[in-house]
Parts: sequence; structure tokens; C-alpha cells
Amino acid sequence: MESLHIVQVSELTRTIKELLETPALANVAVEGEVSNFKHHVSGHMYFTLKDAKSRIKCVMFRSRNARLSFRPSNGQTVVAVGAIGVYDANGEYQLYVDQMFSQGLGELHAAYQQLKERLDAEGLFASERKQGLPFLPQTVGVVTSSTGAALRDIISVLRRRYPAINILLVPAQVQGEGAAASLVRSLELCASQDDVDVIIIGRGGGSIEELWAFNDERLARTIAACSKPVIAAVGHETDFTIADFAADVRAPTPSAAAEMAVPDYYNIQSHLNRTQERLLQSYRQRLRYGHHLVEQYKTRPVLLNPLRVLDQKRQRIDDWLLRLLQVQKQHQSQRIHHLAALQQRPVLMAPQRMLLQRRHDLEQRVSSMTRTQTQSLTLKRSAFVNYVSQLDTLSPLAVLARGYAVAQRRTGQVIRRWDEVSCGESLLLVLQRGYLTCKVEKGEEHGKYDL
Amino acid sequence: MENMTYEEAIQRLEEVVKQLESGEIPLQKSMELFEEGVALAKFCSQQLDDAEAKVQVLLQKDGQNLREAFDIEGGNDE
Repeated sequence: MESLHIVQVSELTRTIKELLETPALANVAVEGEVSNFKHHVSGHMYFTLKDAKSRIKCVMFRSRNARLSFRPSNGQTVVAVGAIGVYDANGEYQLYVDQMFSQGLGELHAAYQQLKERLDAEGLFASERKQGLPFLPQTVGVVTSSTGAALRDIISVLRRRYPAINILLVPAQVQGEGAAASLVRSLELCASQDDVDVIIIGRGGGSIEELWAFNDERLARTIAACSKPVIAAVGHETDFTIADFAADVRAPTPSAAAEMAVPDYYNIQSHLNRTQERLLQSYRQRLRYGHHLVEQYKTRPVLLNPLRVLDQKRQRIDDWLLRLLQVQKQHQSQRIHHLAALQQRPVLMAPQRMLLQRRHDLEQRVSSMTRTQTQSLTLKRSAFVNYVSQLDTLSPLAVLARGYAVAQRRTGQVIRRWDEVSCGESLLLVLQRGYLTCKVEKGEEHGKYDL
Repeated sequence: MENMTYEEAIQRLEEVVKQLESGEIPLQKSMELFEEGVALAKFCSQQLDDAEAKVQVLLQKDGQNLREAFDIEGGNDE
């Protein structure tokens, strides 16, 4: 034996349960014939649905089947909507039914779905089309059966909420043959009334067949096109008809519709009263404040004794005048002092003295200049004498005075050597006094000791 | 003012009161505001009590539309 994975029964059941309880089988609608129908004491219904080839066990619990609009019986063809589940205890799979329609009903439901989708695609239910409800309608129009709980509820809530409100009932047939046409007629009539500002259309609870008129296409279009805002209140909270989608507002019940249609009178009345009171108070306050200011101003000196202000000004003027005079006096005495001071100045007191002084200064300057000049001249003279005596020393005349003579040609050129001249040449001899014209007889070199 | 709705009137009344309460208004203007406020309050009051608590039913008789008082207990024919 190969190694098998052995499980317990409950494990296997659990696996089967997981496999079957999937989204794909969570919402199935199955058509079949009812058999073995049993309405248990507990309220739950147990039956089998079958066709030619197969069968499936079904259970519809009390909570679900309470709303059934028909009583299932063996042999009846139905459409059961629900989910597949596995009962742990015996591993059997069943259909747990949420809704059930008798054959005719199943068709109705399909028709409803189709119409709803079609009108939705047309945009008939679009939120942009919805009108807002008026705050305080002049008259509330009501389209419903004139007998019936819905009307009573609506009127009672309207009266409680806003006792003085005007209500206009436009009666209509709300179920059966011709109901849709009746509703359309009444709605149009109601909307045509000028004083009607909002319309409630609806009826009390019932089965899908009883509510069927509110799924009518014409009614839906009339509601959508209605010139006045429409509140739809059809059946119970969980019932949705096409009229609900087409209306501007859907109310879960007729009473709720009445609450939406009018405001609470007592609330708005007290709000208005309070606001009026505030208006009065604030205005009184404003006036009181004005008074208060006036009183205050009345006690101000300028209003009590206005002339005193002039006195003040007068006094001011006097003060200024006084100051002006003082200042003038001051200036005057200043000027006198200034003048006296000027007169004290030496140049005004004794002009001659000044002149003498200046002359004296001038002379001093001249003599000092002269002294300087003389000194300079003396220096120059002695320098001159120096140069002269130097010159004397260097002068050839001194040399000549000592007996020397200068031999020179007639051109002036001085002869220094015996071989510069030739015999017979004529020379000049310059003496201390005068000169001699000589002719050269002979020339020769000095002997060793001649000089 | 006749063209106002109740909502518009009460809103304007609130505005007027707020302005007056602020205290910043010159005397002449506050008088004008007060007068306007009084007129608005009167209008709102009228609107509120205008309704006559009529409950009527609209019937078609002999091709005509007629309104009759509606008796909730009795019910009328459609």
C-alpha cells in the first residue's frame, strides 16, 4: 500500500465545505420544482428543488421567509436565490435561500432589473437632475391612496411638525390594474397647482406585486420630469422601487417623507424670536452708547465754558508780546556793548600811535637789512682781497719783478726750450717793464750746475 | 422684499443683527439697519403664520378641478 494521506471525516467535510463555499456559489438563482416542502414549527422552511435530472436540498430560515409574498407548495415552480453551503454535521450541501419568487415573480424581478438598468443608463437617476427641497413650502402635495395608513401617517407628521402647513391631497390608485396610469395622472395634476412647492408620492408596505405600479416606466419618467421636487415613500425601508430612484429624494417611510417636507415650526419660530430680540437689544445698546457719548461731551470744558478758551488764547498772546519785548531789549543792550567794545580797540583809540609804531618797526627792519648787507659786503671784500693777493702771488708780474723774463714769439707763443727756436729768429723778451726785441745768436742746453 | 424666500429673509436678518451687535456702525446707518431688521422680522413672521392649516383634496368633477376640504376619517373617492 502506498503511503496515503489519511484524514478524519470532519477534516474531509471541512475541506469539502471550503471548496464549495466560494464566491461563485455565494449568490445563485436556481429554478426548480418544489417538493417535500415542510414548514417547520421553528418557522424554518425545508424543501427540495428538482428538475428532470437532479435535485438539491434547500432551507429558508424564518428570518428570510417571513417576507415571502406567497406560500410555496409542492409542485410549484419557483426561482430560489441564495448561497450554497455545507452542513457540518452530515456533510450535505444545501441551498440556503434568501429570496424566493414564484415563477411569475421571478419574471417580474427580472423585468424590474432590466428597466432599472435601462433608465439608469439614460441618466434618468443622475444626481445632477435632482432638485433640492424648499425650506418652507406653501403647500405640500400628497399623491397616494385617500384610504390607507400612508396618508394618515403623512398628515399626522406634517401637522405635528408644522401645524399651519397647507396640505393638498391628490388621490390615486396605488395597486392593481390601472394604478400606474392613475399615479401618473394625479402626479401631473398635483404638480400643476401653483401653490404646491413639494410633492410626496407613495404608499404603505406590501408585496412586490402590490408595489409593482411604482416600477412603471411612465411613472418614473413623470417623476423625473416633474417641475416640483418629489419625495418618494414607497413601502418599507428595505423596499426599493424605480420611483424611488427617479425621485429627487427617497424617504424610507411616509412619516420620514413628511419630516423632510417641512421644517420644525417651533424651532424656526423660536429662532426668529431670538433674532428679533437681539435686533432690539443691539439697537437699544447702540442708542444708549450714543447718549453716553453726548453726556460725556457735555461735561467737557470746551462746551461748558467756550469763552474761556478765548481767555486762554488772549493770555497766550500777552505772554508772547512780553517775550518779544524782552528779546528786543536784550538785543539792544547787546548791540550797545558791542559798540563800546569796538570803540576800545587800539586802532580807533589812537591811530597815530599805531603809525609811529609801524614806522619804528619799518626802520628797524631797514636797519637790520642794511646791517646784513654791509656784513655781506665786508665778507665779499675780504674774499676779494684774498683772491687778489692770491692772484698776485701767482701773477707773472711778480715773477718778472724778481728779474725773470718771458721769451715769446711775436705770435705770443711762449718759448720754454732752447730747441724750439732757430738761429737768427726774432723773439720778444718781456721784462718787468717793457719788452726787448732780440735775435737768437746761439742756443744750448743747460750745464749741470748753471741754475 | 416680496420676492424673498423665508430662508433668504432670515439670513439677511441675521446679518443685520450681527452688524448692529458689532457696535462699529455710525448712528445713521444703525438706524437704517434697525428699520430693515424690523421689516425683515415682520416679513418672516408673516411667512411663518401665513399657512392656514388647510387640508384639501383635489378632485375632478365634470371635467373641472375642484378643491374640497378633506376629512381624514372619512376619506374621499378618487
